Amino acid sequence: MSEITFDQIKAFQEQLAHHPAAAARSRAVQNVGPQAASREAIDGEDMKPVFSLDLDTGSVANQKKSGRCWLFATLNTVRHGIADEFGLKDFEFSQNYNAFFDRLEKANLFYENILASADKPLDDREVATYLSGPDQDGGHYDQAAALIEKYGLVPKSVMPETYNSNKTAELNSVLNEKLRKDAKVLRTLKQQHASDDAIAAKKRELLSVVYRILAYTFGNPPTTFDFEYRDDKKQYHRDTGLTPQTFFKKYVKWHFDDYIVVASDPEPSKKYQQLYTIKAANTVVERHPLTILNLPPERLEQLALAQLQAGEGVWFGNDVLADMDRKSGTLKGGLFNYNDLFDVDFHVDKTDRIVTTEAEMSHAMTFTGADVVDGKVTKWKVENSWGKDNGHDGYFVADASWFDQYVYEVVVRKSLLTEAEQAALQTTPINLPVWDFLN
Amino acid sequence: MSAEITSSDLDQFKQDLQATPGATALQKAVMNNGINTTAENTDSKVAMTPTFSIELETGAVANQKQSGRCWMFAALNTMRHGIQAQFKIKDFELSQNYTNFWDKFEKSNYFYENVLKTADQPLDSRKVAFLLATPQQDGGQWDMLSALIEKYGIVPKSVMPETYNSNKSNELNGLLNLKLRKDAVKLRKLVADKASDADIEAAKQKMLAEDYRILAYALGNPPTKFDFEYRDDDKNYHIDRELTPQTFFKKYVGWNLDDYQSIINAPTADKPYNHLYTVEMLGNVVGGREVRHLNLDIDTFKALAIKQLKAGESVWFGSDVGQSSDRQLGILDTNIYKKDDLFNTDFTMTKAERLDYGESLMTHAMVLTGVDIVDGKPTKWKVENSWGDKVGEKGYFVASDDWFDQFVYQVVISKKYLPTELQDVIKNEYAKPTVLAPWDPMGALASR
Repeated sequence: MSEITFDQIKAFQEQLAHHPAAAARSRAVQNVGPQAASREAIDGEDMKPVFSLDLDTGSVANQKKSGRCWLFATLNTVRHGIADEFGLKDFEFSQNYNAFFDRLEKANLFYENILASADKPLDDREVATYLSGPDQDGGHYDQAAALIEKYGLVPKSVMPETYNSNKTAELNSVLNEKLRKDAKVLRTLKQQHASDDAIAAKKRELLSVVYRILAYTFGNPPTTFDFEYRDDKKQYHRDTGLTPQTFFKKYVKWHFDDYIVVASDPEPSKKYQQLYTIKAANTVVERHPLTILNLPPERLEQLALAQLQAGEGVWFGNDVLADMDRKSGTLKGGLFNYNDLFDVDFHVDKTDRIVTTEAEMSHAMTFTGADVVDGKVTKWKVENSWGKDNGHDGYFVADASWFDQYVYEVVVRKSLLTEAEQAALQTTPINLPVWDFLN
Repeated sequence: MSAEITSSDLDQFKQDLQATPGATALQKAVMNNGINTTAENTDSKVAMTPTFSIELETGAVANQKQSGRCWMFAALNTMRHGIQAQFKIKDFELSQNYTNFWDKFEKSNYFYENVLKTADQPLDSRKVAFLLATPQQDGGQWDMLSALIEKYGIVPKSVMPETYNSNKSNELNGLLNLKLRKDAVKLRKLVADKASDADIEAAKQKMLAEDYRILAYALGNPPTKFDFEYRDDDKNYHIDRELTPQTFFKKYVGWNLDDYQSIINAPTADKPYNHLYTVEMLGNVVGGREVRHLNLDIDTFKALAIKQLKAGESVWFGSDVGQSSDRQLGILDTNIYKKDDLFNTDFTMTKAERLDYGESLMTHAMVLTGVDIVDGKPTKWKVENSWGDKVGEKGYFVASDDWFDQFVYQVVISKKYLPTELQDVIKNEYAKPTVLAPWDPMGALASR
């Protein structure tokens, strides 16, 4: 091991003293921080919210202090049908309804994962990963699809937000405490070779308490309801005796099976034209498994554009925390010019960012437009779920370089894929560990 | 039930819910106000009245703001208590930014060394993945601060004040971790290409020079010489010239850091009591002091904290502050939220189960500055926090004795209070402690 010596420190200090404009740079960084000191322009022509292709969408939603972006982005994508056909432009689904069943299903998945790994020690990497976050807000597209296919959808008015759905920290802490305690109960039963019936009965008992906790925090999910509304032309409508499933069928008409998650993960351990899954992350056990088709980077852009041209929004997973200015709604590659400020080359290519876990799929949003100049997309219109006080009434602008670097997956119609790509969908997916980047 | 949740399961859950006493009333309260507010227990507020039979004389609390430097603040607080008393400078603070600078610089080097050590393991191996997940962070341990002070000394806050980046560390951490991960790729490649030791060392030196520059821009230049000027509590003026951080430490703090020992209470099966432990890949100064924890049962552990407080010395301690706590009121009490009553279910876990199942770990360091002893038994503890004076009682918190049992994991004790047989354990095992895995909960304070 080589330690830092005082001679070295002296050399570093001398180098620093000779660095051009060191004192001025230093003052800027110490007073305002590296981001404000190095930010490029955000209000230039290149980031103007004007798009050659711009879908007609409603006002943005607000996930508040919760990690439900993936759910919001999915509901934003599917609501376009109801907006057009039924004249309900600003219609919102109940995110709370889906969140209720999401958390219940995640508790069930956690129990199943704990039972399946009960023969491994507690500090095994797989077991430790399950225990580190038994039941959180986060999710992905297939998870939303599975939930909606199983439980349907309801209008926001039927199951509105509560204190806890808007601010999930307290619930998360209570629920995870309970699930970790239950993990011990289930592992012990399994290790004592309890019968399958005894384990099933215990699991049902534990899950019933989870149901109670969720009912107290999110409210009771409705089973039948009446839907009353005035459309954009002020016409009154009343539709009675709906269930969440019939409401979904009648008003949304969305076929999740027509879509596929396309990622571009260039890690050497992964192949293009290859289908992947992560079995331990399939929230709704035995439904709509997580399925990802890995394709070369240029396909992400081509497919997203083709789908927008066909008039449909595009769900996408990304690292919103990189090169983002929240207030102005700017997503611009190289927004913070740290290289200039520190005179250090911070550039890391996408592969290295993924393998070193620098890259993070931190957010999901929806593309609802693109500016195509001379056949090339120069910027994308992004529908976010952080309320309308950020960006342009809640919409963000992403430039082409940001898309290249920080968009990791898009959800597209299978019919837009080439024949070879469609053929890949018929193959058996490779199962990845829970800690893979694609999860 | 089957693996899948069926509709008959859902019907059963609904029936169970309807059969729960008071369900509809409780549901409304929780939906409108959240869990904590609904379950908060007034009895706890009464029991946690801030009166203590043993209470040290301390000054105004410090504020770590939006950074994870609690361990540093807590340690510097224990040291400033002596300065405040001996030199009569009541609200005196030591520079947390000075130790922060050297900590981040040393952690960068420590990271490079660990990357080189694990370069033969694949990127997705658990150890390499752990290392890359957080190349460096704000967190740390008592022994890590000792290592910094032994090498770099300490300075008054006025000599190296806080900056934007020390108060709000997320931008700097994001940037430095990006840089360190990039460097990790380079170093691993050099090893894979069988580069000579000299070439690897030269590459590392270049990286460290850049890290030094980044830190100097963000946190300022650490002083090497300075004058210390102050008025004491009796309004007398003093000036002490030509001090170095090392001479300042010797003169104004004067501790022999070898006299202090980290004691833990980790009652899990993998850690027998009365032995010394360290945590792999946990540290900062390569070649400096390493982490050593002596694991003791809770009664001995607690008696030592009381002994030190009775002797008039404050106690650095590590805990899981997020559990059963009301930040605004400054209460840490296992009785503060009656969750079991609210949800009609038993949430109880033992301390060992919580550690084994990842439900609890060390998240925060603070200082014990008092204890209330009634009929020979401790009932509550006075806690000096570093979250400013707007929370708790002017920044001081009250912890119940049961909370102490359940969620306090570490105290730092002057060795002179330890019985001879424990002093012998430290001597005998210091060179070869039991090594815990990098992700052990006893290392958590320094890895997040």
